[in-house]
Amino acid sequence: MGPRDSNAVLFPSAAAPRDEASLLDIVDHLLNAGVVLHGSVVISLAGVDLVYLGLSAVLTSVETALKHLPKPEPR
Amino acid sequence: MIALLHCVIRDQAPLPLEFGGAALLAMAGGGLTLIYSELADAPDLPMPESALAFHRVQQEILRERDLVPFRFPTLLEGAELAPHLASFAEQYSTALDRAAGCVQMEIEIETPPEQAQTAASGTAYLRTKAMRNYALRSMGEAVRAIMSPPVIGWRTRATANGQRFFALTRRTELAQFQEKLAQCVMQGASLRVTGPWPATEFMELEKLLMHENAPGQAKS
Repeated sequence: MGPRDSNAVLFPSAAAPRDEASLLDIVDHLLNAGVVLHGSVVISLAGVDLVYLGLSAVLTSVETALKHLPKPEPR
Repeated sequence: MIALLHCVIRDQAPLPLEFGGAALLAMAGGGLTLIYSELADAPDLPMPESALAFHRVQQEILRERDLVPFRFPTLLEGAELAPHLASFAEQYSTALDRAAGCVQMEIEIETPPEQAQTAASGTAYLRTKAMRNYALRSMGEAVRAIMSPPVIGWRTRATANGQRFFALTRRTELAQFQEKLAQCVMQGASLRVTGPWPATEFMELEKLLMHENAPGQAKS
């Protein structure tokens, strides 16, 4: 079945889709897309060094974390 | 000095942009330019303000130039910048070639999730689910057919309630992209578009930079 046969989509319309990136979209891209250097970082809050983190393991979205989790062993 | 890395571009002068009230800095090497900002030794990067400022810098550069973005926040000691660029110039150059002149638009198609609780039986639930998957596939194929061209490359990923399409589009053809998009209307599904973004889905950065640790210990 070709895509044009589908009756689920198509047709010109005045209802244009939204193309606004939300804050969530932006944060998703900032954390998920791009070069990641494996290392660590000192997170500072109000001038006080708080945590020394393994960034690539911690500062990531659920989607990225799931992508890197080992697949379960077949039973 | 700690450097906050923004992106890598072809060897060009950086645009007159600022991050945190200071001008962006540039380091050239291997035909590339690494764009970064100097931070204090104990950087305080409040969210979401810093993230949004970081995003705006990348968007301004992306408007005119191809770039390989760094995730936020990627930090290196100042002395590590030159060795890093020298070590990975070839990989960054390959990534820039893969998306030369292009940006990434994203299209999400979602349908309401099937309700297992309201299905009359397990079979009915599975049948509803199969129909939904079929409809999603059809919608995705239809959108791709409408949008190619101007889209010259596709990547697809399943999401919880639908599909997410990454569309490689030439920067000069974004107006055509918008025109074609107006022809795509979902029935029983929502269509959401964002972009332009750096074309990271087409750069295959993870493969290119798998052995990223050398040289020096990155402080990201």
